[in-house]
Amino acid sequence: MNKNAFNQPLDALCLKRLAKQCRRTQEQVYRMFVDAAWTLAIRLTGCEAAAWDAVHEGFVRAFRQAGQLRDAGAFGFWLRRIIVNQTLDAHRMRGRESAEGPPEASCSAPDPAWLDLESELARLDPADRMVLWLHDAEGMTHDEIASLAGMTASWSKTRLSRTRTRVREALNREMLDEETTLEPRTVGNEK
Amino acid sequence: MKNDPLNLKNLPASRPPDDLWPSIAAELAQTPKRPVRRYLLIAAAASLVVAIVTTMPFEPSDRRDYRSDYRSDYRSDYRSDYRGDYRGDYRGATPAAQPNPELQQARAASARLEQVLRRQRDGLLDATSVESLAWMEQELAWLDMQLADSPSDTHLWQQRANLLAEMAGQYQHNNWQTELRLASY
Repeated sequence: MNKNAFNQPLDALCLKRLAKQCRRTQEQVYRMFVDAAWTLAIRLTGCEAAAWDAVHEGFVRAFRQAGQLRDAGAFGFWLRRIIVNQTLDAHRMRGRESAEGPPEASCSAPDPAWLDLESELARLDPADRMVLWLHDAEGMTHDEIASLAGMTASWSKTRLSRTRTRVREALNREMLDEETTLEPRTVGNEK
Repeated sequence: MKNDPLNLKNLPASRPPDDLWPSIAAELAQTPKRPVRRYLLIAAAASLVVAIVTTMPFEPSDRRDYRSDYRSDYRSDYRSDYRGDYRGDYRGATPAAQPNPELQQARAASARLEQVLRRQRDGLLDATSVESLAWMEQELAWLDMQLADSPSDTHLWQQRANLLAEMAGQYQHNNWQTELRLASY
């Protein structure tokens, strides 16, 4: 699967049909971008429920406002921007709610079956995770990330550097832990 | 690899849920339609008016003459006049330009007789007349139901006109007898 499939261009006719709310075209476009959209949302939010909300609302908004888009080739990037904004809004909302009450249970704990890197991603602060994913996996520039988050490019750079280091350290730590837990067993088997 | 040192792009993909699209489609289906432009509404209203006017039953302009004729004649041999005049009327005097002259004649006669009956229904009736007129009213209702389904059926319109003529005759006969009885007291 091409995770960065947001760069797939639409043709002008397809955009016109989207603007006319043609349901069949909407479904075709959905199928084109849903894998990329879902991957982005699940990585940014770290949980399925929040990813569902972001992708659902993202597609609904993109289709309803398709008439406002002039460049058909930019649809994917436009959709990505909408989904990232949805995710950011959800983070802000959740931040406010957690300040007022208990945190949302569904998004707090990462699935233990996930791989180490995925687990580490899920444990990250939402803003750190967003910067890391958008830059490293989606290939966005610091300026683009900064404009989405309403921050500066240097904020994005600092976050990225710090997050990469944190994830690397966590992965190294886990590798060391695994080695130490495996050693006695290996020794025992040899005996 | 410089831009992806943690190798995030190679993470296993997560499949989107199958019920995501139906949920999005359902939400999109609730999107309010674009407001209909004003001129479209006006055009639709104008078309409706034209359709109503063109499908209205033909009403001859000599209705008034017919009524006055009827008033002057009915006191004599009303029954034969009635049958003869009205049937003769609607079978003979219709503009040739109409696409179905017989249908137009039957409708016109029906309309004229309705006017006559409207006046006659206010009078007194004896028991025999009530029974036969009740039967004829039922027959009229049945014909009207048939005409609601086939408004252009010439034969039904002719039947209706004949029945109305018969009813008008029955009413008039009853009035004549009533008047005679009242005069004998």
